Amino acid sequence: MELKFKKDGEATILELSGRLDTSNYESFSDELFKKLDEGDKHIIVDMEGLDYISSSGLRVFLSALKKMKDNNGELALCCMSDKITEVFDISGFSTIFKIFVRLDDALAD
Amino acid sequence: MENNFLNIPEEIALLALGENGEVHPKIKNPKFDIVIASAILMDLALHHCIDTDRVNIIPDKLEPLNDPILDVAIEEIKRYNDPLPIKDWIAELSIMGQFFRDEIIKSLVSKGVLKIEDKQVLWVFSKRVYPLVEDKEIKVVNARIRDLVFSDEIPDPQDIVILSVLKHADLLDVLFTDKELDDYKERISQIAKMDMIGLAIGDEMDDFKLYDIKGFFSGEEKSAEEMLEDHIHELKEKFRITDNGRLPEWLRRGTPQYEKTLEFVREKGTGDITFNHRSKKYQVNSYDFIGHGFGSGN
Repeated sequence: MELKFKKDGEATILELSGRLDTSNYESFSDELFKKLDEGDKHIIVDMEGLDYISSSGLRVFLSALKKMKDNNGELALCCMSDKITEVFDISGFSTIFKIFVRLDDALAD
Repeated sequence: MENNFLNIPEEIALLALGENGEVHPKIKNPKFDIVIASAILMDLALHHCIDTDRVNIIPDKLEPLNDPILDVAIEEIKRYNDPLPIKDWIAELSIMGQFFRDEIIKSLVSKGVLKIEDKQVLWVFSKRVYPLVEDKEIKVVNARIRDLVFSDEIPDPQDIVILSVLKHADLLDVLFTDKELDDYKERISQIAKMDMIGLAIGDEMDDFKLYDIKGFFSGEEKSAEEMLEDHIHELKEKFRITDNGRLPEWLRRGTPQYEKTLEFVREKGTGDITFNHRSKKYQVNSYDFIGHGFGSGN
């Protein structure tokens, strides 16, 4: 898994790539929650390079969304591959997250 | 809300237990073993002992949790320590169903939630209130799940798995009226599918071949070995096990434990038995929730 951060106006963009699984969900969680604790209110996770996600990875997103709602912030996801979209659809996660096809759409929201 | 006082199999058992200790009819059915097995796997996933994707269970931190039920499952998973299909693990733990039924009740008794009187399981308190833990009363699971369904809150992982188990086990009527089930059908489905093991239970339940055990064993008189082999065959069919190496030692021909199993079958005259991994004793399957585990171990 590789994780890069960048800012675009008010938004913090996390570029997530590779595999999010047993071996790295903890470090991903630490990094994501650090941003939440720093008070970032508009986080977009760009998943263009993500090609695998396990349940542990999904749970990190769920906990982050919960915390973000408590902070009155927004967590959006974008640029998912068909494979990742399928996982989010099957697990019903696509019904609770704001998901955009392109990063520009997420930034414009 | 995180609740470390009860594990998920225990929460499911309590949900299926009426105010006066009456047991939901669906529990007195071997199919409920799949529910227990799935609940155990879901709990292990929440403790990061295992991870899952749409197909497999992937071992993660397989360290003991000091939980008499979950630790037995951890030991089983450690035997393989490789990613294996979720359905295989549901099958493997389902074979130990009677053992887990007994252990769940024992554990709830030791935690002061239930008591046994005249072989009946009863609540310790006059109403469904669990003991205080760190000066805090644990919110009873049924109220917690109902609140979640009636709101648009983001669910906690623990509540997702409980709702998922109840839905796939067709036990939602323990929590909701028919009207509520109708009104909140979509919300319940939305939450219940948020767990990969939950999705796999649905498939297992559909495929599970429920044998009429009496019918299966009736007919001509059989030797102990034949009765045991019939039982093994039944379990393999029921859980679609094709490799004998996947059977627990007490059912695996050629092991010293298998010989002891055979002795017990000979003594009891039935092959429909199970083995308690903790007490190392055999018992005849009862499919009651508390089984024969209390005071009549063999």
